[in-house]
Amino acid sequence: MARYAVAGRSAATAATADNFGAALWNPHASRSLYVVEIHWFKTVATRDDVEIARITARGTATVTVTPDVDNDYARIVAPVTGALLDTTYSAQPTIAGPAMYRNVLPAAIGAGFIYAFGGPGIEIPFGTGLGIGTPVATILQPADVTFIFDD
Amino acid sequence: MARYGVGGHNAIAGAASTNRCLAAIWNPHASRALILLHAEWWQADASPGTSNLGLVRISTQGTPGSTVTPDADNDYRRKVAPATGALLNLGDFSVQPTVQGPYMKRAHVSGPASGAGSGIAWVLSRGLFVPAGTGIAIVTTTSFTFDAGDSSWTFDD
Repeated sequence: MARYAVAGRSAATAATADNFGAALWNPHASRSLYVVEIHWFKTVATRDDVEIARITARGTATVTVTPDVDNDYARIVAPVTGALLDTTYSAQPTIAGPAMYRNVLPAAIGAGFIYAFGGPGIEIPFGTGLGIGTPVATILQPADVTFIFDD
Repeated sequence: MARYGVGGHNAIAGAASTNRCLAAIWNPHASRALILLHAEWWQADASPGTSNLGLVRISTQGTPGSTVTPDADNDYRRKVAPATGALLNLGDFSVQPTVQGPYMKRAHVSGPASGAGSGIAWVLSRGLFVPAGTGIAIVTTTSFTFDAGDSSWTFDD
């Protein structure tokens, strides 16, 4: 398996619970990928309630970052799964809860978190994803997001 | 063993007291242990106060204000729900769990002037065995009214 890092900037969500700001989507028909780290750093000075949860439908992304060979730690090949980092939505993904993680970020630009998942990481089966959203009916503010995954 | 992550939100405490439970992982199984690897808590109140917190074992479940039941979606491999039937119980509890001290960890979390978002994350590198019919809780170590907050837990089951 190769390791990849892909980053983007999310847009603000609506003030709706379980709306997502960004997600890593696995579009492959049969192959899993494994998320080993998630990084999230605020770009707006407004507090955030944050959840990390699985998604079972991609929704409609209007901004997508497609990792290629330049995102490969060894710079050899693009992700076999065709993994996609979605950062803006016109139709929201479908959450598959309960949330795996929750936290609160203060009203400060630059506040954020880095989650490192031990062992092989969180498996994302084909046709599913892992997203960062708001668990409550308040806007999840824009942030710089990074997913590190094995594929 | 499979690895799970689960998060939840506790309400503000109804009163100030020591050893009042904010959140707890409870293992209801009759014979199987789980292994707790990580616990964290973040203040969610707009004007948070100072929180003196402890991580401690509990020998009774108490009566939680709400419960999150992890399922297959909480499995790192998305295959199966926890075999122990582990539960994330959240405050404010109407009947407090029974604390089995001394505290294993303690932390002092101060509320920032700008509002919510301060907290504590404990990484339990070798894991904390949680025997059947017991749990691990985040509780107050002094008598104060704890804030609403978000907690996250990682465990092997």
